[in-house]
Amino acid sequence: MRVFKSSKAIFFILLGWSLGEAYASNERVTVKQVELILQEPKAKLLAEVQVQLSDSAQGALHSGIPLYWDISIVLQQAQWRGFWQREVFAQTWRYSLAYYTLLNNYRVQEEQEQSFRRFSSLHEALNYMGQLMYADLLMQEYDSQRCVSWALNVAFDREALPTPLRPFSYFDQEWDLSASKSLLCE
Amino acid sequence: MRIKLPFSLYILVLLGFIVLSLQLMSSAAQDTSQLGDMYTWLLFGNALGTVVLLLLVGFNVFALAKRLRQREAGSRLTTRIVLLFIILSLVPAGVVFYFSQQFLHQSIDSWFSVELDGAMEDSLELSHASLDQRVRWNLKQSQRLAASLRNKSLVGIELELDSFRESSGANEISLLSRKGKLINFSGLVPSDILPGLPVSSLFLQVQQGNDYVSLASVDGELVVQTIVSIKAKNMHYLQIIYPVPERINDLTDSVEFAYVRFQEMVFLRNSLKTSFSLVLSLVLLMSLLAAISAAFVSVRSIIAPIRDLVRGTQAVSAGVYGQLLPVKRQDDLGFLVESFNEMVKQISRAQDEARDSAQEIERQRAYLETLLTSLTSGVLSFDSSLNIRTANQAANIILHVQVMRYYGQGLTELALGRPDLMSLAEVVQPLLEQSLEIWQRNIVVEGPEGRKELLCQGTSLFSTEGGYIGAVVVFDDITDLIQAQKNAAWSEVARRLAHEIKNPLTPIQLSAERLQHKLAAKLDKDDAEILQRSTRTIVQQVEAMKHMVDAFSEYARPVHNQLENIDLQVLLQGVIALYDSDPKVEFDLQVQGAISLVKADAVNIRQVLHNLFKNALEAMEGKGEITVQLRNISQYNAEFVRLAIYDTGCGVDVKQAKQIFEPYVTNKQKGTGLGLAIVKKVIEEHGGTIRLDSRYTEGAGFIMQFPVTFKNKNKNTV
Repeated sequence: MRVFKSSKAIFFILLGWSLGEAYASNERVTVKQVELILQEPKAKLLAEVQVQLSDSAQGALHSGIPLYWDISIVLQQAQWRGFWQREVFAQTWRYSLAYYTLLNNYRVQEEQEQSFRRFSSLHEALNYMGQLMYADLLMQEYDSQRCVSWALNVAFDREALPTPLRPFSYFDQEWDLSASKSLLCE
Repeated sequence: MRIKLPFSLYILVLLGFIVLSLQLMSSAAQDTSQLGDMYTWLLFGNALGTVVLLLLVGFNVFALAKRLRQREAGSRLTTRIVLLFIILSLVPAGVVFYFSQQFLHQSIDSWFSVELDGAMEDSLELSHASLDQRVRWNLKQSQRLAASLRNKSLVGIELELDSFRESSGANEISLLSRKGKLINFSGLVPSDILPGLPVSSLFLQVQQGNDYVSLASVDGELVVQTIVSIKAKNMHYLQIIYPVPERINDLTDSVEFAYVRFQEMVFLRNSLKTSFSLVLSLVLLMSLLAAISAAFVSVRSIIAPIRDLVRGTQAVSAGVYGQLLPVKRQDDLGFLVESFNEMVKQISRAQDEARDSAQEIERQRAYLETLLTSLTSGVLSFDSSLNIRTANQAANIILHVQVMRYYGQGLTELALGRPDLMSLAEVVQPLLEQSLEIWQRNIVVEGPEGRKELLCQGTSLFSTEGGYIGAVVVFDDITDLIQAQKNAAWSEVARRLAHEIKNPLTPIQLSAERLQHKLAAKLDKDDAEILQRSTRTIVQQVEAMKHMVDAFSEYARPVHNQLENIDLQVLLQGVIALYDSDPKVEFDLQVQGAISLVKADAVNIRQVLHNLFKNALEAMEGKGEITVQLRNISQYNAEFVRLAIYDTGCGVDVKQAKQIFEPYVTNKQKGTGLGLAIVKKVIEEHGGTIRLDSRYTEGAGFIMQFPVTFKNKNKNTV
C-alpha cells in the first residue's frame, strides 16, 4: 500500500511538472485570427497565423533541411441537436520552407500545386506563410439551416525531418511548431 | 484440439521480432528510403518490445524472489544460474557496447574535420565568385545594350529585340514601359507567350534609377535576371534573362548540394551520435534481457527434475511412498530420478513389510491382552530391570490398585503407595532378583478389604538368544478357596458332631433322669442330694451339647435361598424397629442417596442382621449406640450396596481379629462361636463380602457389600 501511495505521488508530480512545462513554453506558432465567410454552398477562409522558428528549427533550415507544415481545414455542421458533427468539408495543404544557400533566399512552396515563392529574408517567408486565404471551399451536403463549425490545424511534420533528428523532435519543445484553433458554430 | 506452444517459443518469437526490428531500424537510420519513413515506428516498436521483455524478466525476477522467500526448492540454484547468465552476457556485451560507442563517435567526428569544413566553405565561395563574375558581366552586357538603344525609337527597338536576344545569347528580352507594362518580348522558346515580369517591389527599385541584377532559378536552371533602363526621351526598361552556362550551372549545383549535405550532416552530428547510441543501447539492453529470459527458460528445464526430486523427498519424509517421479530425460538427472524412484519403491516395500509385521505384532499383543484380561489370575510382567511392564485387569482387582500407574517402576515403589502390599513386595522382589526359573509362594496380604491369601507363581523370562529379558508373576486370590475348604471342613465336623454326638445325648439324658428317678428314693439324704446334683449337671450339659450340636447342624445345613429383589433400607428399618424400644440403646441409621436393590433371601439377611445386632448388644452389655450406614458404592466397574454396622461395645480382640469369622471363635463366656461364621457364610452365599473394619477402634465395626441387582428401587420389594 505504501508503494502504491508513493507511486501515485510520483505520478502526480510528473503530471504537474509536464503540464507546467507545457504552459510555460512559448508558443511559436499561433493562430491569430480566423474568418470564415459562407458563400453557399461555398466558403472562404481567411486566417492569420504567426509563425516563429526556434533556434533548432532555424539551424536545421539554414543547414539545408526543409521544414514541412500541413494546414488542415475542417468544416462541420451539427446534427441532431448537436449530438454529433457531420463533416462538410475537409482538406489539407502541405507547405514547405527551404533555404537555398547559393541564392541566399528562402522558398515557400505549396506542395500539391508545386507553386512557390522566393523570399530574400526568413521574416518575409514566414509572413507569407502566415497569411492564409482559401477561397471556393466547396461544402458537401451543406444545410443552410444549420450552423457551421470550423477547425484550423497547423501541424508541423516531424516525420519529414531527417531520420536521426526525428525521434528527438517529439521530446524537444524546440520542435513544437504546431497550432490549432476551432470554433464550434459559425 | 488446441495445441499449446511452449513458453520459450513465445520468447524466441518475440526476440526474433525485436532483432528484425533493430536491423530495420539500423538500416533506416542510415538512409532516407521507405524504411526511413518508418524509423519512428520501428524505434517505438523496439522500445515496446524491450519493455515487454523487461516486464517478462521483471515478472520472472519477482516470481523468483517470492520463491526465494518461501525457500522453494531450486530457487537458489535458479538465482545462481540467472546471475551467471547475466554476468556472462553483460561483460562481453558491455565491452562491445563501449568500444562500438567509441568507434562510432570517433567515426562520426572524423567526418567533420576543419579542413573539410574550410574546403566546403571555399568551394561555395568560389561558386559565388564565379556566379558574381557572370552576373556582373551580364549586367554590363545589358547596360551596353541599353546604351546602344538610347537613340532608337520604340518601334525600332521592338523590331530589333529578336536580333538583340540572339546576339547577346539571352533566353528572353522584355521591353517594359515606364510603369512596368510589357511592351514587347522576345523569347528563346517560341511556345512561351508571356515572360515572367518582375515583382512590383523590384520594379520600384529599378524606377529609382538602380539597375537590377540577380541570380534566379527557373525550372531548376540558374539564370541571371537583369533590368536596366533605356535612358531615352521616353524612359523604357529592358528585362534580360541570361542563361548560366551549363557547365557552371552543373558545378554550382554540385557544390551547393555537397555544401548543403555537409551542413545538414554537421547539424545532425549530435543527433546521429545519439541515434546510434540509442540503437546500441537497445541492442545491449535487449541482449541482456534476452540472456536473462533465456536463463529463466533454460533453468526451468534444468530445475524441473531437481524440484521433482525435492518434492519426492519431501513426500517420502512425510511418509508418502506411492508418488513416483516422471522420468522426462535420459541424461544424468533422468538417471538420478530413476534411482530415486527405485529407492522409493524399496522403501515402500520395506515400509509395507514393517507395517504388516507391526500389525501382526499388534494382533498378537491384542490377543495376549485379551487372554490376560480374561484370566481370573493376576499377571504382572517385569522387564530386565524388574520394573513393571504390563498387568492384566485381574491383577488390578486382586491387588486393589491400578498397576498401570506404576509401569516402569518396581514392586517396591508400588508397595510404597500401598503399605498393605509391602508383604507381597518383600517376598516377590528377592525371588525376582534371584532370577529363578519357577517359584511358588503363598503370601498373606492385609488389605483394606480384609485379609487376603495369594498364591504367587513366578518365572524368569529369557530371549531365544538366552538373554535375560525380565520375569512374569501370576497370582491368585485363594482366600475364598481356603475359606471354602475351611467351611467344608467345619461343615463335615458339624455333620459328624450332629451325627456322632447328638444321637447318644438323648440316651445319656434319659439314663441320667432314670437313675435319678430310680435311686433318689433308695439313697439317704446326702447321697440322694449328690445324685440329684449330678444328674442335673448331666442333663444340663447334655442340653448344652444338644444346643451346640444344633448350632453346628445349622451351620452345616445346606442353604436354600429364596432370592428376590430386596431393599436393604426397608429391611434394616424393620429389624431396627424390633430393638428400638430399648431406651438404653440408640440406633443411628445413616442412608446416603438412593439405595439400589439387591437380590437376596430376606429371611436369611434378616437373620444376619439379628446376629450382628445381638452381638453388638451383648458387646455393649445392653447400653450404647449402634450406627448403621447404608450407601451405594462403585468398585472395579461393578455396583455394590455397602452396609456398615458399628457399635460402642468392647470391640474385637486384635488376636482374634484374623479368625473372627471362623467357627468356634468367640470372646464371649457363653456361645458357640458360630454366629459370625454363619453371618459370613450367608453373605457369601449371596455373592457379598463381610470384613472387620480394622480402622474403627471405639467398638466393633463390620462392613458388608452386596452386589446390586437394580439401580432403581422396585415397587415389588420387601
